[in-house]
Amino acid sequence: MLPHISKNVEEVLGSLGFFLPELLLGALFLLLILADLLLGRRYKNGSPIIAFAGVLIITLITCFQFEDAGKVFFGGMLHLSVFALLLKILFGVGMLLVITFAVRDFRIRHNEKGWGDFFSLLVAVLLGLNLMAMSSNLLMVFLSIEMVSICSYILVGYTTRERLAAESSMKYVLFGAVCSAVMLYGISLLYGLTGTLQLNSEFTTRLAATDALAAGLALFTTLAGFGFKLSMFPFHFWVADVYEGSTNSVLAFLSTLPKAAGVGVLVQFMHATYGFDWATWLAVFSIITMTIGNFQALWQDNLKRMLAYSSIGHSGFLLMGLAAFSQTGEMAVYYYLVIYTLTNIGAFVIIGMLANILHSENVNSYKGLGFKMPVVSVCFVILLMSLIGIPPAGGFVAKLLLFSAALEGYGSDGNILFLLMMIAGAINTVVALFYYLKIPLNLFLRKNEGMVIVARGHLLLKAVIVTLTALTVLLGIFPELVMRYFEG
Amino acid sequence: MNWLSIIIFLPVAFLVLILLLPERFREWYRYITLGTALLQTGIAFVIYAGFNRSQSGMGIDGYQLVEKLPWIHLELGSLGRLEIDYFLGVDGLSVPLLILSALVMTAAAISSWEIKKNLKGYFALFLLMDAAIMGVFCALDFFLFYVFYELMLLPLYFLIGMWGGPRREYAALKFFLYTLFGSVFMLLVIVGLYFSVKDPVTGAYTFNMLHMMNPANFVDGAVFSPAVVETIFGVPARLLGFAVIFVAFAIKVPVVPLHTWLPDAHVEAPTPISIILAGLLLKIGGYGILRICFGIFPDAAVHFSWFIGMLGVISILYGALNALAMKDLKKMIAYSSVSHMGFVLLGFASFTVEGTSGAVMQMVSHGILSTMLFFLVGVIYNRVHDRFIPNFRGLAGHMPHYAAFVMVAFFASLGLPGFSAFIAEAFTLIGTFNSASVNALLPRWMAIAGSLGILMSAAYFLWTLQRMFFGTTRFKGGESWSKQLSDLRPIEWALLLPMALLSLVLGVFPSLFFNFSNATIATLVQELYKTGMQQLNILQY
Repeated sequence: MLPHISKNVEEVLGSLGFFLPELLLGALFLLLILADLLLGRRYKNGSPIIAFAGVLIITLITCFQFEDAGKVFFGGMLHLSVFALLLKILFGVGMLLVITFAVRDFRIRHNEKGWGDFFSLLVAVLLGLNLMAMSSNLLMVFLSIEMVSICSYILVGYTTRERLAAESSMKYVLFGAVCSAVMLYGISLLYGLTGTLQLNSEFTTRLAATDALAAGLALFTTLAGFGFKLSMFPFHFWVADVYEGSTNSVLAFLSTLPKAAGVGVLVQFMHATYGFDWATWLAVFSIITMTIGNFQALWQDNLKRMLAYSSIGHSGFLLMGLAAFSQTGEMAVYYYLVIYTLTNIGAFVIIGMLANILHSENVNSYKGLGFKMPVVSVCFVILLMSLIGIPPAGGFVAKLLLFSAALEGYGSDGNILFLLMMIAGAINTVVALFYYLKIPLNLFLRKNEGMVIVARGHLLLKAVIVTLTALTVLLGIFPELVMRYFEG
Repeated sequence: MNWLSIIIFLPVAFLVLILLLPERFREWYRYITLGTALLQTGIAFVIYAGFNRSQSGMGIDGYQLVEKLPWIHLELGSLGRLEIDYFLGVDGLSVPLLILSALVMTAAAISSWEIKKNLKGYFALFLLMDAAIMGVFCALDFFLFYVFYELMLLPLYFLIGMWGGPRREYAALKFFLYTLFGSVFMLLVIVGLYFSVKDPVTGAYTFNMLHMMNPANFVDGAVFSPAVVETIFGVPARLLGFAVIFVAFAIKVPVVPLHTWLPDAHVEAPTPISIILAGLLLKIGGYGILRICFGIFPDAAVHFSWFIGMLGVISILYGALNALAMKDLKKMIAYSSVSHMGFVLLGFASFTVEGTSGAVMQMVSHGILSTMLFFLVGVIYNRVHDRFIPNFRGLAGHMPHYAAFVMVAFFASLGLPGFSAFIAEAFTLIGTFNSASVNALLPRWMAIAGSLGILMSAAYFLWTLQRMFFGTTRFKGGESWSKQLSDLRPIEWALLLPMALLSLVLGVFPSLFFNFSNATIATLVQELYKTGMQQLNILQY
């Protein structure tokens, strides 16, 4: 017994080095709570500044973890793959943007509960996201997903004084709780079938030896948890209502980072369940998800709801890359996630900024705005082009890579679903054009002479918007800036 | 950095200048844009003068002013490498279209004097589109081509949608949706193509169009490999790939029945944009069909040649019949474009040197003439905001110079000997007629149906001339219209006269064009037919 303990302690101690960013995130979380308690009243901007600086430093530290890539630590609980590491960097960058946005989010800034907790929650959720991306044990998967979920519930409900926010928060909690319960059920089945919670080769061989039907049932029920985060069919019903009720900075977070983390978990999970026919099932889900998302978005005039449904459509595209389940697929999915995160956060920053000015999120209220706020409007159009996938914005290369991955999948096993998926992707791109164009239509093509806009200093948000737009185009012209990390 | 890069990125440089210039210099924007277009014209003629006319070939040796820089090189793991290059080059097919682009852009810049509001946005978008159009004709990398091809859409959407007529929202959206619908599916074929083709030197998957045109570079067993018959949904993959790309470009040309965006877009667009749409955008469709569809899938092109010729004939006749029925002058001209572009398709389908040369010349000629025609419509529309044929009568007496140019443009368009369209249509029809005896691809009656189209174009042009310009002078708007309908201004002369002369010069000395592009087109047609027939034997379908 005794030698085991010392060995375990040694391993834990040895693992701490790989766990440094997460440890620091935990410390930052505590620091933020303390800072808010002690200094929150005197220095209102203290919390966001500490959070921003902390996350920035931690993200930089994460960037130096490449030499540790591939390590499995904490007794197999966590696996720092290259993909997970890249996702962690993406989370860090995304979180910096969300923090910056939240500083100027009216409903957060003037919240009667104060906003110190908000930033500590963002840091906590970042910790959860990192764990999600790295988890290689089903228990860890469950814990990290729950960590992200619970933080997200609070974030969505942060402005509960408003009826809509309370309603959407409630819906989110209920839906999330059911999905978690179903996932837990699946995990227990998997444990029963394989006798292990580790997502490793042992798990793979034992799962392959079990009855296909039982294994399939267990895998599908486990999928509920990831599907909820990914907002894929049939776990997408919460999306539109929750988005509509959330404030924009929460939404910028909610629509991007948990989705990326869901992809990360799913990739780990797919590696561990190698042999299961993911391609067929994910292809079917991909086609249904993207079609449902894009076609429902057609009828929306509320921008949040429109982007909510379009984000379901984007999940469908992500599933396309996952269905291919190859190195190309992983690269394509990561690149897509980077571009999607940048553009979607950019779009929500713009919507939030315009909502502050116009007090409306209806697309028809944007009439003629392009002439009053040319820079922001042009950026908005470029970001939308990226979301549709029109060159030279990054979304185009992302889509091209996904199509490549799908075609490669077709080439390797001749599954006709891959071709159908590509065709569905093409049709959905045209559908997406149809509803996204409502925005430039109102911004530029329609006139509204009577509009008076009170010019306010939105310098910070404008800087974020312009930077994100420039990045989207830059990455579209030089995708190697991201992709080279996959080489070697 | 050679002339091609300069001609493409010159507008971008001036675009930045326009964006930086403050609003109070807004009248300068016009001159900057016109200057850009003139500079491009100069460069285009420098390229023309320095071009080696005897050089031809299917590979890189057939192209001049080649510029190739590595752009995106990705490791795709199990797949190997992916290569995208910044790869430009021109041959006897693209240089005439490049010159045409510069000329039409100049004309459109002159015609942009009618634009009065939002000058900064207008000219910035105009120059962006200018760059994209030049890029399309120079790109030899499929990825680069596609980027330029799509880059045109967004500026055009705004140019039609913001400065267009009453139904501009509808027209702009329809144009965008149609084109994107075609090009998204084309993207799928592009993906399939680059998975099928490897660079013979580096062994990487490549978007290089010239490699795609060489059957030896296809990977064995790849989707689009010509060596074995791969099927998708039970159809040979190469035929399907051809059909998809053909539809994408046929929407642009436009070919009946994919033409319905054109009357809306052309009619609602402001005059300069109509000029660009008719003068250049349609040519991009034709260029894409010959260069890309035929170039990469010659077997399918030979296989489908009867259908392509048939579509050409249908476009010619259907367009002409529609033009005959139109009361809106601009719509009449828009439908005449459909009809005239049908000849391009017919000429390509004939797989004869005469027919293809005629078709390419028809593109150049129609570019010049449609510029004139749309500009002439703009002249009266800007004066009285009306362009319905029955609302005008006896314009010849009231605006003699205007009427003279209309007559020149009409007669040139209907194929009067001495003007460029006559030569172009004659060669197209000769090629179509000969096809039956040379390669037995097109039946003779298609040539006859084509000449029937010329007859009908004479009918609608002459009838319009009679209704609007002859007889006693009478306008719907009465006295006030008579005052507003002043004769041509100097700036209008400056556009119309050179264009009319150009059409005349090309009609009298067609060798200016034929000598120039003959080597390229002759090699192209012969090689395409040869490889097409060989591959078709493998396909045995």
